[in-house]
Amino acid sequence: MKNKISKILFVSLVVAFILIVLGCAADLTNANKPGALLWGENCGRCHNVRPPSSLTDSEWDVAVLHMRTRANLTETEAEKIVVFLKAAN
Amino acid sequence: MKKVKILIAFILSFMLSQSLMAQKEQKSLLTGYGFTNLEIESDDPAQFKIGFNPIFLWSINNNILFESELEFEIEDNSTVVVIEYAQIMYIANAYMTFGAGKFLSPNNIFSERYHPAWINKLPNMPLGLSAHSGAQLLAGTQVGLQVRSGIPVGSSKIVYALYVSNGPALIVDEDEDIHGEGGGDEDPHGEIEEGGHHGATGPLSFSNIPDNNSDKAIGGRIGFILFPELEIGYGFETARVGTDDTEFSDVRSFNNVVDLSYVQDIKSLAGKVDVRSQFTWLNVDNPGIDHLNYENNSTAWYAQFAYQPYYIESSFLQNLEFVVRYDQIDLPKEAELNTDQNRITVGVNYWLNHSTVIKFAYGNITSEHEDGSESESTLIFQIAMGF
Repeated sequence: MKNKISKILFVSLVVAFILIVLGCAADLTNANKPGALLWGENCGRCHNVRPPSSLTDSEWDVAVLHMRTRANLTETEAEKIVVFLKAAN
Repeated sequence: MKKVKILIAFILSFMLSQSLMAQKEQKSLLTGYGFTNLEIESDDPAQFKIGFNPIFLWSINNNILFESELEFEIEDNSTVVVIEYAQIMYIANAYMTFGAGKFLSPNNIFSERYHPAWINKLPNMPLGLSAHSGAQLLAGTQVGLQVRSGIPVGSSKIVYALYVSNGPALIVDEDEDIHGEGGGDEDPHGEIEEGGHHGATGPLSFSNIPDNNSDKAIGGRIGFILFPELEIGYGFETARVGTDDTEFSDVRSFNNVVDLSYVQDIKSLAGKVDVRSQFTWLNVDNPGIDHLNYENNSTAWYAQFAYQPYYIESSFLQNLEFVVRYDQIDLPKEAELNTDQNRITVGVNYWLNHSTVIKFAYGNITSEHEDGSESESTLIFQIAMGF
C-alpha cells in the first residue's frame, strides 16, 4: 500500500514539474486573456454558460465568488470574469 | 482531536474578525435547481419523482462566503429535507481558500461539479457514487475542513484541494445500519445520496455524522488544466474506518480517483464534444476476522461522451444533445454485497435554454451473480432546470 502511494505521489510530482515547465514556455497566459474568453473557458468546462443578463451586478459578485471557490478560479480569472459580466449586463 | 478543535476555533474566529472589520455591504443570491422524473423499469410500475435543491449564497465581503444547498424530496408521502452542503469559505489569499462545514467531496469531481440535475447530462448517476445504487465507493460530501485554490502556471493551471473530515465507516454487522440510512432503490436523480448498506457487511458507509472513531480522514485532489478544454486529476482519501474499541478498530481504507474531462467546440464536427470519465479504486484492509476475512478491494468507473451540434443552422438541431455513458462496478467476490454490474445508458437531451433541459434516456444494466447474470432496462424521462 505504501509503495503504491509513493509511486502515485512520484508520478504526480513528475507530471506537475513537466506542466510547470511547459506552462512557463507558453505565449498566452491566463493573465493576458480577456474576461469574455475566461468566462467561456471556465464556466463551459462543467455546464452551459449563463448569459450576463441572467443576474444583476450584485448577484454576479456572489455567483462568481461561489464559483471561484467551487471551480478553483484564480484571483485574476475571477476578477476579469466579473468585470466582463457586469460590463455585458 | 484537540488540534482539530483548536484549528476549527482559530479559523472561525479569524473569519469572524475579518467580517466585523469589513466595510462592504453583504450580498446574497438564491440559486439552485429542480427536476421531475418519470422512471419506467421493466419489472416495476412507472414512477414520477421530483427534487428541489435551492442554493443559498451570502457574501459578507469579497473574501468571505457562506454557501448552502438544501435538498427537498418526497419519500413515502413525506417531504425529506437534507443539508447537501453548508460551509463558510474564506479566501485567505490568491492561492489559499479555506472552508469549514459540510462540503461536496473535493476528491470526486463528479459529485463536486457534475451532480446537479441540469449539469449531469444523463438522468442517472454513475455506478459506485451513490448508496442507492447498491454500493458506494466514494463519498459525495465531507464534514470537516478544506483548503483549495487554483494556481496559474503559464497558459495552464494547477488546481488543488486538501481536506480533513469525519471519514467513512466500515460496516461489520449485517443488522447494523450505522447511520440510520439504509440503502434503497437505484437513485436516478443525479443527486448525492449518502448512507449505509443495510444487510451487507464489508462496504463503507459515507454518511459521516456521527463519526465512528476519533481519527479523521485526509483526502484531496490535484488537477491539471493542461489547456482550457482539458482537465485531468488525481484524488485520494485515506482514513481509519473501524469503530473505536472494537476488533476492527485498526482497519483503514485508501481511495484513489483518476478523472478526465474534455470539452471542445469542434467546427469540423459542427458542434461541441464533451468527454468525462472517472476511475475509482478502493482498498480496505483485511482485518482477518470472521466474515470480513477477504481482500476487500473494489473498483468503479465510467466514461461518458456527449455531442451537441451547435454549428448546424437548424435551431432545433442546435438544441439537441446526444449522450452515451458506460459505467461499471466490481466488488469483492466474498462480500455479501458482491453484485458486479455494468451498464450502458444512451440519452437524447433537448435544451429549452442554457439551464433548462428535457432528457430521455434508456439504460440497460447487467448484474453478475454466482448463478449467472441478469439484465434490466430502464427508461427515464427528466425535465431539469437550473435557476
